[in-house]
Amino acid sequence: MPVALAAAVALWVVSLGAIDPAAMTDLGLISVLPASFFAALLVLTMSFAALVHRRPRRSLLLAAHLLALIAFLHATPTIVYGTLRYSWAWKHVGIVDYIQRHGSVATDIHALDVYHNWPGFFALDSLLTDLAGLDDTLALATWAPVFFNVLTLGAVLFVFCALTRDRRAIWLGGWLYLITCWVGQDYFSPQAFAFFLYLIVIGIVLKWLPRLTRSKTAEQQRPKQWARLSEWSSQDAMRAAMVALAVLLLAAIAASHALTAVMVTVALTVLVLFDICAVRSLPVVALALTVVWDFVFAINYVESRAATLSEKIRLPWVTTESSLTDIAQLSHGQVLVASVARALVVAVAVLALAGALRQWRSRGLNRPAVVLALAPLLLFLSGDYDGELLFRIYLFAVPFLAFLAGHALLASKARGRSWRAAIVSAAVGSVLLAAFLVAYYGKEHQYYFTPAEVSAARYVYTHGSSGALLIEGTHNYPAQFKNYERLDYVTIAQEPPASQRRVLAHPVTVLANWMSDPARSGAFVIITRSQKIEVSELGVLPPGSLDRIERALRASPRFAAVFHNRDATVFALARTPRRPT
Amino acid sequence: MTSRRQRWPLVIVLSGALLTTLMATDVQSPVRIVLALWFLLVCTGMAFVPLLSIERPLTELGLGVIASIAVDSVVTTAILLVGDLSPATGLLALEALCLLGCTAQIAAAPMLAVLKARLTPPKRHPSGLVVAAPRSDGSVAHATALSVRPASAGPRERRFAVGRRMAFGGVLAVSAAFAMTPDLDISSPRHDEYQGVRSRAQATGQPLDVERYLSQRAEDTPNAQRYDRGGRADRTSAASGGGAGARARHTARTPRPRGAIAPGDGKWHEKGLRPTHDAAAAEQQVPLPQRGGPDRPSTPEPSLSTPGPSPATPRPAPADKPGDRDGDGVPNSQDNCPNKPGTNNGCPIKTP
Repeated sequence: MPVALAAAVALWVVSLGAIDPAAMTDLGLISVLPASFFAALLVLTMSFAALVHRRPRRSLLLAAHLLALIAFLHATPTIVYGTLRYSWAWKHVGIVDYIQRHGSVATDIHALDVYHNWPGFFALDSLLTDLAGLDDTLALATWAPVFFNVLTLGAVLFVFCALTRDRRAIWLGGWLYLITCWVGQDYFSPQAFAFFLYLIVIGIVLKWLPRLTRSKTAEQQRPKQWARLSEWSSQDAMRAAMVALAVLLLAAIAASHALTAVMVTVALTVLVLFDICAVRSLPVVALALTVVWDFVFAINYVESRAATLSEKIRLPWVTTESSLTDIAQLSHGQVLVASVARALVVAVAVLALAGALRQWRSRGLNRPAVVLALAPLLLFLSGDYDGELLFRIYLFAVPFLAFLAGHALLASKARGRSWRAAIVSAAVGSVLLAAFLVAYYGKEHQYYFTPAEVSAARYVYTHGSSGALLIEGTHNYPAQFKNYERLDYVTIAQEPPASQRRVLAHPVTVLANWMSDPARSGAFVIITRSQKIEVSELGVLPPGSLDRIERALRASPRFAAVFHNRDATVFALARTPRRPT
Repeated sequence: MTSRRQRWPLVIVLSGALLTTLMATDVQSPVRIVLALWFLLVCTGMAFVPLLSIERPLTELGLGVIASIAVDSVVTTAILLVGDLSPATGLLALEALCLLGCTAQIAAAPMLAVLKARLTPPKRHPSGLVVAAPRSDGSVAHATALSVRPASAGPRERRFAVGRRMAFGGVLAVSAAFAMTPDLDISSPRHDEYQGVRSRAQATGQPLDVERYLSQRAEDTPNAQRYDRGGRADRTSAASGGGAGARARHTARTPRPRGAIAPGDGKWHEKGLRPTHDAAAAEQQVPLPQRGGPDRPSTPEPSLSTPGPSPATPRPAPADKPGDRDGDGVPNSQDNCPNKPGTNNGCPIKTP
């Protein structure tokens, strides 16, 4: 197995040099991955499957396989791109930049105000960036997917250790989690940070603060470590320390991410109701912290959204239908990506159901795992979360779905069929991994930003003075990562349909009219390669509309291209007296 | 032991000092990045987590990382809300917290050792007062010592005597406060389960047969589950006295973990404990009382990792006649073998 692991790593290293991100199609990164990359994953999968069923006690080697998988899947874009991927990660860098410059937050700020109202993650990262002596947090953010996946994997294994003593189920569950969590919330973001804290809170409750169950099967499944630590937890001081740590984590969640704070309250409540958590006051504490934060520190944001919140709480199937992308708007490649992603969700759910049924037939149903896999469905009561609720429900459920799915692939110990189980696991794992590559990498064509685009964005945010206007084709570019609060933003793709039609019909006239407001200190239009890719693949604007706008502005004497390179153009009004030079 | 106790405080103080120096001199270096990550992800938590005296280093380190992230996040958010988050304020606040934790580690460790020993209740036994001292692997070392008292002759103990007493009282007060909170159940799960067994026994009107119960639990547990990878025996056998074989396995396979308190190993002094007579002779397994005897052990709590008998599990029938320990129908006074059932004057018939 170590030889197979070394071979897989070698294949992966070789494959890195053959990846050209600029050649990606609408299928995403998978369209430019060489055969050696897939070979590396295949060797790793087979090696892991054999190891987990035949030698489940070789923890170090199994952990090395999982870390290698994280490196293959999440370090590859970081190494190959050389720039930070995903537009929202750039925005989060901008919040850290704001805190670094001001030392505080402005909860009523005009842009990205949600992050100023839940700033826990950004405050910590701001301090880390300053202590590390970095000018900005871009370098740290670039490696965030790897960092967060390692952290989250540790948390997932921690939770699984509290759920079972079967090492095969623990490691297999960890593997399945990594290859089924395709929703991409592992980038530089508060939700990735809060998700890690959420899993830790659940792990602490299951491991150190459980209500005793007296069923034989549940007792048998309790891990060895639990018993050893429960020896300690029998002392009041130890349990009190664990409660204190959980409360501290709940406070950090409440200050970092609103939805996770709701989710952890829901999960703890469900655990208490199902008599799994011994500390009945913990959900009350979580609720109190969430309410206090929302209605004291984040009151500006809550007040501004309270009016529309009730309208967003709909029946689950209505929310589901509205959250799913209209496939008719997508390009052919993106249709395939969306379909595979949905199929992967269904496959994980079916595997988890099979695992749960198998546990139930053997009278060993893991009640906490089932409860925690279903608890996120209650988030339907919290609204549609701007169309992202389905992703978040899946994110919170997938560790426990993976745990249950792992039990569907385990061999019966009595029959000694570990080789057959290893082959089945390798086959199922390969299929799931292939689906993961399509689903997770499927939007990389949009998420990848070239250095030329970064240069254009840096020009705008460096030269834009306070009160200037920035008109974007779409949000999909390295946006708002520096001095972001100085500018006001207008995104053509998010304009009302009537306004969009006017811009597309008469771009020069309409845009010049917007930009010529004498109250503004300046105005820019930025059009980049990644904006055009988003338009063509997601259909947020009519096909080719940004190209037409760019050509019209370039041809107009009223506009001047103040910054131009291969992948981006920045326009300003030609007669603007305070135009940056 | 002393060096181990001072290891993390030393590392934390040095890390903080080095990071402060690098920040003050504005050195731009990858070393500074690694040091900042190390300080924020490990040091702040490890200033406090060693106070819990967790024996497994990986668990301790993992909890340290978790505590670090939680503490860092809460502290930086608090400073941010005040409106003055800067590298200096953030680092100073965290370093102050670290110093607090490190001081507590150095000052309170001897007290915690005493507290651990005192938290394990002494047990009355026919041979005298039995003192139970928790080992680090979770088992309990029983010593038929006449008394165990904290060592007070050493200079270090004298130095920390006042602080130790104050901290001891503080921890007890906090523990009592938590214990008195009605909805915060921090009682021992093992104790809960033991109470359940006792209540079932009372409901069925049968005597509480702890030894048989624990032995049965040990037998019900598959061997593969009773031993972990390192060959460490399950405490079920050792702590409950689950037969000589189980004790032998425990003795043979269980290496004494670091930091374990056990008489005879020379660590009692370091933990602030000192037996008043020969410690080597004192360390012995306490013989469990006879079934139905008056002196049941007060805390032979069943392990949580093994299944307990369901209420429907048939329990052994009590002796047919009073005064007949082995239940063979021959009263003890006339039984040549009162502990072995048999029909040959109360003894089993030997077969060639």
